Amino acid sequence: MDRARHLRNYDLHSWTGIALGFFVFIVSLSGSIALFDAELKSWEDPARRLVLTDNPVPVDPIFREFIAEQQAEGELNSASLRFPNQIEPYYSAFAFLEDENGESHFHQRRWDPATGEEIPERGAGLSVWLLDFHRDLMWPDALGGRTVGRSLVGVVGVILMLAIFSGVIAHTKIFEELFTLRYWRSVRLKWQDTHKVAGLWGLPFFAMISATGAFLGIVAILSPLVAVLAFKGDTEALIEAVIGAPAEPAGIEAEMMPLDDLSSMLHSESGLEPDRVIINHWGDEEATYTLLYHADTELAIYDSMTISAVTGEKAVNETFETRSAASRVSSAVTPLHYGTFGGEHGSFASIALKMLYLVLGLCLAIITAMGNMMWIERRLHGNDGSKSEVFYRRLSRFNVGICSGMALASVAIFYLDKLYLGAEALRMSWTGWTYFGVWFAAVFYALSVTNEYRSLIAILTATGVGLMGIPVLNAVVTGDVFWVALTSGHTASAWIDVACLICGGLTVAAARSLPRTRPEKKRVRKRKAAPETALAPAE
Amino acid sequence: MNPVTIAILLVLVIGIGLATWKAPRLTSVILWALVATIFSTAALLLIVPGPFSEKALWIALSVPFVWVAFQFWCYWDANKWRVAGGLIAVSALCGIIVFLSDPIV
Repeated sequence: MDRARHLRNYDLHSWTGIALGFFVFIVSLSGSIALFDAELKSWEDPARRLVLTDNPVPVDPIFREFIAEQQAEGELNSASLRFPNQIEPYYSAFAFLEDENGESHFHQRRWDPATGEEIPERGAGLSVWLLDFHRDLMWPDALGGRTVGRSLVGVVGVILMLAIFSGVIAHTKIFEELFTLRYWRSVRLKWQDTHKVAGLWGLPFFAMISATGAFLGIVAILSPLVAVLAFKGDTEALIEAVIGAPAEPAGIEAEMMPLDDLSSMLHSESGLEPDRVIINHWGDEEATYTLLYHADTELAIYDSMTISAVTGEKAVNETFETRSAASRVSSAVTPLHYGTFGGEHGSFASIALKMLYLVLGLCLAIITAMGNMMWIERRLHGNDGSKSEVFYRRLSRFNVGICSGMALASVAIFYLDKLYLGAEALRMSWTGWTYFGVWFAAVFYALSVTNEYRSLIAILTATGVGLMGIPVLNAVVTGDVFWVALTSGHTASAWIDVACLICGGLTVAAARSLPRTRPEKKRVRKRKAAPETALAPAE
Repeated sequence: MNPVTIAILLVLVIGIGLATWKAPRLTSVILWALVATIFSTAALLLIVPGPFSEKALWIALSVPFVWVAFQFWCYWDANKWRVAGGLIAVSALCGIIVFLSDPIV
């Protein structure tokens, strides 16, 4: 590769990093936390910390009562029931309705499988915020709603793909750099080596996570655009053309098969019990139960089997072998992205896989933050860039505030979750205010401290101590101590406490290892006076 | 079309034209690569033979890669005008295919 092309490529790599690195950092850090959505649900709501029972009460009469209530409110489009599992050891029912005004509604209910009693609903907060902030940035309706947010996250995936591709091409000595970590040299050299080593070792994961994330996000913008262009605006026709027309009800009432009979319908190949059932056309002769099993025979979210909800007869089901290659590849995207292919919920393999995803996800966030820091430091101490030193120092402080502040904000909402005393309906909005309030405060603090090394240490220490305090907070507020919970049967929330303790310790250790003062400049250079496009790629 | 819409569109066209003239590579990587991706995938969907659901899934899966490839080309090619011109030509050609083809519905 000629030098001019190499420089252009390097320019592209650093430009994608510095201009959109903050977004990549936000999406990768929030994604690392969002992996534990199910476990976080158990941590936030003590009423859900149940022990999986061997003798559950029959769910059929309770579920029928729930459905009857829903049908009184509007037309039932579909419903589903999730059977208890290790992480969520309770029945969860969901109903999708359409009222007389044509508006869609979603209702859910949970029951204790040991007693059949309803588990009181708690307002959405911590877990929903952490998951949705990753998926759609909690994009407000006033600015276009969640589809816009999801599309932006998809664009982040594309930018990350571009940064990875240009990064690989920019590094001409990949094999050498894989094994070069000059840990005892200068701070800047250490950052540079860590950026390269972590980036190269994690390359297959980062490439996979960016491509799958881009696909999951871009589908949100692509479908309406394709519909406009190829289907003259008919999105429903597009969906029907891709996944087929939905079956119509017969309009003849029929008695539904008891739902309790379904739990004994094991998957023919994996032998697993169903994880959940989706019900279409409840009470109709053409009603179906689609049984979803944890995917054990293919890389997909679920193995599925559809039966008649009246007779129990098996409908024609696609198998892995009969499905098209495109369908198989697209089914693999979600489990690959969320790391759900490690085995049954709560199994050692599934937890180990999620931990690996967590480590690699955090690595990606750290690589991005370090890339930003390297870009700034090169301009402060090297010959690149020609903005004033004040500009780069402010950018450096902003980088510290955004990156470390987001971690602190994520910790802060754990505390809000346990200490919140207001109305459940307002829990989510308080979670949002706390999140952004703490984040903005951290950015403001980082911008106000002249020594960004010191502000980084302070915010990281606060984050680490905050993380280590989460198990204490949980024990004080709910009475659940993690070492007791780990041996009591329901371990999901206890593992969150353990993970917080470990991550907190590592964060404090990382903060302590940082230098307290900025290293002296080794090279003093004369800056150009002419304006330049420091944040723009070379033309 | 009302005058306000025409004025907005005019400002947009002039703005994009000016941006492309002043910084062809930057405008190409930000805008023209995306426009070319949308039109080329829509055109592919219309002209590639085969079952619709199958090709729609493959094309949807390939969109991020097509987009990244166009963006990467913006910096790979030494000639900045060839990049901008090429992407505009791809968009225009595919746009013609899309608008002249019969709708799938």
